[in-house]
Amino acid sequence: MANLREISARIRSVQDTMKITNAMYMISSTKLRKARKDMEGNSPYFLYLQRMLAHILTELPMTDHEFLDLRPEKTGSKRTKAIIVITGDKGLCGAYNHNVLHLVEREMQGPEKHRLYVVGEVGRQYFAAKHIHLAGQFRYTAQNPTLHRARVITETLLADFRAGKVDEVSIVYTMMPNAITSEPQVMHLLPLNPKEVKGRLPGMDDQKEGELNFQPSVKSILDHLIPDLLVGYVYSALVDSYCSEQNDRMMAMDAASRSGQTMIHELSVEYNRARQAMITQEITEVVAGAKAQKKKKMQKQKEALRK
Amino acid sequence: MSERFRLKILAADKVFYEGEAVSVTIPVVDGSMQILAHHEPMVVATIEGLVQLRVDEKQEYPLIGVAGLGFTEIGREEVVVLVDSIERPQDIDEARAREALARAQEQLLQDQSIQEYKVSKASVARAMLRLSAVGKQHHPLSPFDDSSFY
Repeated sequence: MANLREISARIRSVQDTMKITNAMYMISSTKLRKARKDMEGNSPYFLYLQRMLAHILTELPMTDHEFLDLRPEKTGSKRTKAIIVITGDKGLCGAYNHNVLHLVEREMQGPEKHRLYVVGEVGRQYFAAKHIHLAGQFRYTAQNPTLHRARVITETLLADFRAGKVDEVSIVYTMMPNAITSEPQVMHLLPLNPKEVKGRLPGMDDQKEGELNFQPSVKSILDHLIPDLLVGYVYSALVDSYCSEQNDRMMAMDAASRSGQTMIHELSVEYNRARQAMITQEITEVVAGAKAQKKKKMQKQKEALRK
Repeated sequence: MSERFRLKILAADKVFYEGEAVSVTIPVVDGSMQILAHHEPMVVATIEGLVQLRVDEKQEYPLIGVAGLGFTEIGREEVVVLVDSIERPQDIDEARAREALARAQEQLLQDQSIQEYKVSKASVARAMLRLSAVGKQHHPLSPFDDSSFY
């Protein structure tokens, strides 16, 4: 009897959990769609920005600018690398956070010093538990990436770069090369490498458009263009990560719902079997009892006859 | 008939205008600059101000956008205006712009670092610009009645 009740309680609890996983699946897919839409609004601007910078750098390959300075004199332990880490705010999304943190640890193996700038609660907790100092924390959620946040992050990094606190900046984020898989990536941001900028541009031709005239000066344009471009990179990394997180969560929740279904199926088979066993047992008991009664009666009759 | 050229005005969060235009006026460091068809190729840094464009020579008033920092690339085939942000005057919330101005002016009075000072100064300028664009909207000869262009 107790066994039956236990099984049905278990089935109910699995059903309740499935309601949650189904709801989370739905929420993630809505968020994913919204983030994608935001990104579409930004992408023409960002694409032109990249084209323009690539164009300027092909026109004037010898351009001298603080953001293009590789600082080759600083090597080994004198060099400081900044890593922007983008993780999620919570788990329940498969290996998403783990993959990012794993890649960060691998990045940190070099002889250089490292400064970490972390976005997202999971990353913060992880490094706090490992007693790794964080140079910068962006105390807002990784949810709803906005341009404003990308700008704040970029400004912090640019200020540190200008002040010489960091010599290199890269960002570790997650992107989806196709709709099913997501993989962590390292993107190098500063100092800006013209080849990398061009490499990130799909279908960029090396064709020159002819001499360009810059007003008021090349420097003033690069001063504005490069930070803006970095904001664009950071923003797209934030959105990519956010999309991957939601996508991973969708997949994790989908898998959870499906395994919940198999569990319910197995449990209901078990439940029916237990129920059947109980009925059989009851019948056996009833029959046995009836037989015993009958025997008793017969004996009584026999005794009465003998008398 | 004046010639037209292809024009794109892109903001960080949206495409503001894409199509043909007769002229576009952009705010630059030393004033404003008007671009017509067959302009010499160049790249120009733009400052906060009004972007005005004429789609048609018969059009009496230009279409106006209140733009943030950015730059403009004038190519042989098309002109691309890239700005942080751009909005139509009728989309600006006057009350909020007024609040932003008051806040920025108050911040200017506080002691602050050079960088903070520059930031506050820029926000004052931006708030004034947005308010003035909103103010023009109420003028009897205002071009803003026709919003079908956008």
